[in-house]
Amino acid sequence: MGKQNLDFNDEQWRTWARLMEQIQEGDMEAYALLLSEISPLIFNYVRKRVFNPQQVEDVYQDVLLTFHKARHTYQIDRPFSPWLFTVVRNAIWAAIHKRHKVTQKELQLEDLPETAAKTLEDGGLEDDLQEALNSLPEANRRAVEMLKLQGMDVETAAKQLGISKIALKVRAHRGYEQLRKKLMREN
Amino acid sequence: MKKKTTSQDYLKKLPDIQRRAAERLLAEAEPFKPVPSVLKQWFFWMAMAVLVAGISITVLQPQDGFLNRLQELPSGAFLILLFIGSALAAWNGIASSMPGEEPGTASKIWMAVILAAVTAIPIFFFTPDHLKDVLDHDMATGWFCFRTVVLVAIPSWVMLAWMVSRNASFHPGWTGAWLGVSAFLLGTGTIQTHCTHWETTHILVNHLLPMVLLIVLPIWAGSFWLSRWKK
Repeated sequence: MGKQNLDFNDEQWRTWARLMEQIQEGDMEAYALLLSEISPLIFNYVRKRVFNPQQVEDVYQDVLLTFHKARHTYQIDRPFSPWLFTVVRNAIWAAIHKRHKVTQKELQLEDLPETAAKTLEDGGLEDDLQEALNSLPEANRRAVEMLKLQGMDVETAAKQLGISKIALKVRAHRGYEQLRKKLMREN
Repeated sequence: MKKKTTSQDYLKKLPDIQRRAAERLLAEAEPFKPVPSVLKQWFFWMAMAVLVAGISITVLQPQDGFLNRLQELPSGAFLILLFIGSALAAWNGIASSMPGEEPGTASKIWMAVILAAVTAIPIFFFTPDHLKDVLDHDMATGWFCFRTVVLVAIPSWVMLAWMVSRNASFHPGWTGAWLGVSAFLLGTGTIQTHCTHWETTHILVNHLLPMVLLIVLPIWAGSFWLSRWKK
């Protein structure tokens, strides 16, 4: 944290603290100005701490959202930097932890298409699979189809659906779970 | 005439990713009320704790010769430490839910010392008694002291957690635990003003064991309730 304090002078931190005070009074332009000034700082902080470059953008968005949700806890008579970096540090940790859990679940589910393919060779499951797929909620079905049947990468599919990558992964994950349950019940 | 700078103008200079994220936040931003400082929240809780303890003691009635009992050093120190411990744990709980205000090492060490002291004082300074007698007495009275500690602690914890749930705890389980320790010590302090059994095993089993056994509840409940601000 000391390192970050060196990057900006005390006057800069005091200005941001004053902007926080104005934001708490409902000044939206002060919020825009503060976001325009601290966004690069937060982005660089995230980039230095998240080793997977594909995750930097998602983690950054989570961190900024956490900052937004925690902004009511800033005390205007207290220094801004300890508050900001506590929020950012904890939000980065939480975002990485959340993604790690999603990845672990995805890894556990990776054998799902193989299992289906093996049974397909024996014949008889194609209809069941299609039926199970059709019964999924629209959003989850689209996510599974795009990622597993059409073989699209997460970024392209997310862009096409107009949602974030993490939201797409969550939909796909739910879809796999529902699909697995249905197929297990039927077999 | 000079054009007035708008929110969009401020964000223009940002790279795309950062600008889009900032625009989303600005679109969602609504007026909000800042939470009071840790000190103000703590003072508010102290007033509530005095009220809770005051009502409970009035209902239960203080034990006969209570003031004389307090003049004995171990008894007086034990009771005072229970209330100081409750107040300190409440401070740590509130502070742990405010970013940048989390309790420091010194505060945690003091808390550990107080908890060690409230366990050690009954063991080393109070009249020894037998577990069998304590359990027989508990069966006859329906675990009155144990129940009272829990009955004071649970609503106290709920009130404290409700107040703290407006803050932003990044470690809700820990926050729940601090608040739980505070609520249970308040319950123990309250029953201690009423109960005439200043004996080692009775106090360990009926007045302190509820906290040890049930502390998982505030940790579990806290991990859900106190993380709702992120949703």
